[in-house]
Amino acid sequence: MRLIRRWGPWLLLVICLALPVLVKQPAWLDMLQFTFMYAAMSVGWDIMGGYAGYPSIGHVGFFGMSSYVAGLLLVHFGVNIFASALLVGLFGSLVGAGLGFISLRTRGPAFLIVTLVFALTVQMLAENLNALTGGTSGLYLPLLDLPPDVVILPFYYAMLALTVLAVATSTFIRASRFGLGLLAIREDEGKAEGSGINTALYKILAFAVSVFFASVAGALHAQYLNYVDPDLAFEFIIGLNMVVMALVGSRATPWGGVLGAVIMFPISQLLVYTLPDKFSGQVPLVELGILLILIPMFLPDGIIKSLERWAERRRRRPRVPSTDTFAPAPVGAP
Amino acid sequence: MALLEVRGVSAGYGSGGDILREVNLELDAGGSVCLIGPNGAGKSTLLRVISGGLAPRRGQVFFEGRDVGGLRPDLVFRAGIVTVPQGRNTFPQMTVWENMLMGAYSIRDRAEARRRIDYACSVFPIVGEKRGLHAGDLSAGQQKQVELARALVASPKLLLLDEPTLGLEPRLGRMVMDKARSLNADGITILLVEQNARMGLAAAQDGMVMELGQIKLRGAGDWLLRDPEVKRLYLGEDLSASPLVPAGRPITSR
Amino acid sequence: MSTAAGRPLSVRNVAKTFGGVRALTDCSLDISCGKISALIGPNGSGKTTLFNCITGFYVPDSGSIRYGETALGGRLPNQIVHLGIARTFQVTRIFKRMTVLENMVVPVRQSNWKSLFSAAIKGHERERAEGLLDFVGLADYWSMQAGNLSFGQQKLLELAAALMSEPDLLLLDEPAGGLNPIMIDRLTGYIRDLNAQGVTFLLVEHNMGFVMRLAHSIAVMHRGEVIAQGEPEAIRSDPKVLDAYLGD
Repeated sequence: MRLIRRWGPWLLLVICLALPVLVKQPAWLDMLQFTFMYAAMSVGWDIMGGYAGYPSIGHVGFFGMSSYVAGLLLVHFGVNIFASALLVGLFGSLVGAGLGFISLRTRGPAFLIVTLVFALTVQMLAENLNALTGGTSGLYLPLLDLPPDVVILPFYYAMLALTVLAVATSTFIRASRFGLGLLAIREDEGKAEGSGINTALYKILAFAVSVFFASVAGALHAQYLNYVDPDLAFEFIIGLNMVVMALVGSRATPWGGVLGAVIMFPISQLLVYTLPDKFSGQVPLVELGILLILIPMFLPDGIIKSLERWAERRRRRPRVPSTDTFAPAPVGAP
Repeated sequence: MALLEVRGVSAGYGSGGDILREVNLELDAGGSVCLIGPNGAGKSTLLRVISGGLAPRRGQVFFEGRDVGGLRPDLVFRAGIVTVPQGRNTFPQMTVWENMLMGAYSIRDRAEARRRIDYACSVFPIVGEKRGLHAGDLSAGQQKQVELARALVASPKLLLLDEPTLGLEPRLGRMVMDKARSLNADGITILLVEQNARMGLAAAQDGMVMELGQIKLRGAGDWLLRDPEVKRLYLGEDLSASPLVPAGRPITSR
Repeated sequence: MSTAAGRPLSVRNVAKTFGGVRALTDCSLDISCGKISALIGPNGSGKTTLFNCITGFYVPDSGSIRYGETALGGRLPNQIVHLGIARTFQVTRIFKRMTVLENMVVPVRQSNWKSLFSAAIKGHERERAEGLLDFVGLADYWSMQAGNLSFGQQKLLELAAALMSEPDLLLLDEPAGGLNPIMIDRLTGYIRDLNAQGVTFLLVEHNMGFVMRLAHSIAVMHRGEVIAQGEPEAIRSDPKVLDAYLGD
């Protein structure tokens, strides 16, 4: 088990890097590219929604906003999106920090609403600032100058890199003081304050990092579609998928979002291709709906945490009988 | 037939081990028992099993001859077992009066409900005084009084009190214990857990010592208070003879 | 544990009202450094509210609170911790889903950005944490989930964790509440040891035996103000105090 923990991710990475050499069909690579995209966004979302305990439903606002920013940079200044993606991501983080600052006094449901309002507002701006964004007609982006069987590759590797970055960031945060502070905020924010944690700083930073991945993904996705428009860029289901994938995989874990994406996306793609046309359009939504019923009922903590708990139960450690007499306490099992 | 009979009950939380280990207990109607013992001994857990908050893994709980072990807490409540749990359990966003109305939730007859609430207010006047305030704005001790009053509204046959004096100033602690004693004299059977062991044992008719999930000792309250082993292991220093304490005050040490 | 870094705490004419409750009316108090002071008084007299004002959880409506030269009013709780003041809560608050060791490490004072991203549990911090856990008898439970500790153990964990930030002034809100008599004896010993090492204490307590044994100075609150402050001897025979609290 330990071996898997240590080397598993690296093996997986090598496989993913080598895959395009072995698998030539663009359709498979395309599916994987989307899976990576969702995995990265979901892991990023989890930094705020899982570690800090502040779920957001507005990450799609950053996704869409970055699609436009990257698209406009390309159209007006000729900046290649693969070159600007990270910077656009940082811009998204900056906006995220601003939103985080504005919403400092909000908790739980109020915070959720603020993020939702943000996404809807940016979408409205995109629809209405015609001169800038092309309004509802959208923005057309120049095509990449690559042969059709190869054009998927840069997206595949870019999204893979983004996922690797997301998981690495999440793992790093989890092991750091910052991560411990976020967990403390989730557990008991008042107590965290009273323990010396600058909760305002932590929350703003966590949110800024969290939206980075959705922003970069949005920028790259714009190039993928060669087109940006308010309906597609801010499609609500993108934001929902991010959240549900993290819930399915398990919140507050670096790999939860990855697991959720790997399970949910390929299945939805499979169904879209095999079901007759009149059903296939509804697949993502139906899948989401079914999961939103099944997960809270059967796996409320997500897959990874449920597996961990099951493994612990198999090892069956009884609770240490602890008493507070002056007799020395029995040594605990762990 | 005893009012409450706990037979061979073992219980624990989640996937953990047993906290209660084959506990046996009998309580006659009109009796009152104080449970003392170290933290972690299972006292609160026992109360939780009796009130329906935790299902026993083994054994049964009989109340008035009926098996209530594992029954839903609201049904246990309707059977006549009312619990005042440890800590703060008012509805903080509701006013004190609304908290009292919650205590009367299952009383159909509004006049009867009103009567019961008035009675509870007469026992705990602070409830009437602060009726319009949000319960969460009261101090911990005041909230505890609201909880006790609320429990009274339900006309309990068996009252379970988990650390009723926790957080209360000594005067109020004594008052709560006096009320418990007089409620017992009026016929309400009481089972209480108290870390303030001396106070608890003095107020109840009987005492029971729990340790490591089992009942180790049982006897009359004042007998346990005087037993040297009990004193050494569970009661700590007796400070009522200390010169530092105001004279004429039977100070109870926790 | 710091020794001479303590400063006196002075509370002057603090008032605080919330939700229709005038919790503090005109509260003034002096805590000398290096001593164990106790704050007693009836329920509702404003003791916890005063604690909340001192530690930044409430902002006083009027009046001033100074720690040495530094004004505390209006500062955030985490800033107060960095000034050297730590507290426990009336109803024990710990991070239940974290381990005991993680609970201990959360309050470590960090001074700069770099430390934010350093490892969560570093060597020397871990040693300090283990030392403190050992001090309160919880050393063997370091990897246990804090929520699984018993009530008394959680109280001790909260105390030990508060010590991690190396406070000069420790505010304990009903530290003996709910503890059995044996544990209370242990706690008394801990507080005395820590005080001997230079930690100033301000305790809120109802347990008069505990207070009389420990406190060098006692302040009595009633209806939002301090009605008496002095040595235990003087307090226990003060007629105002007997009337408000100690008498029947």
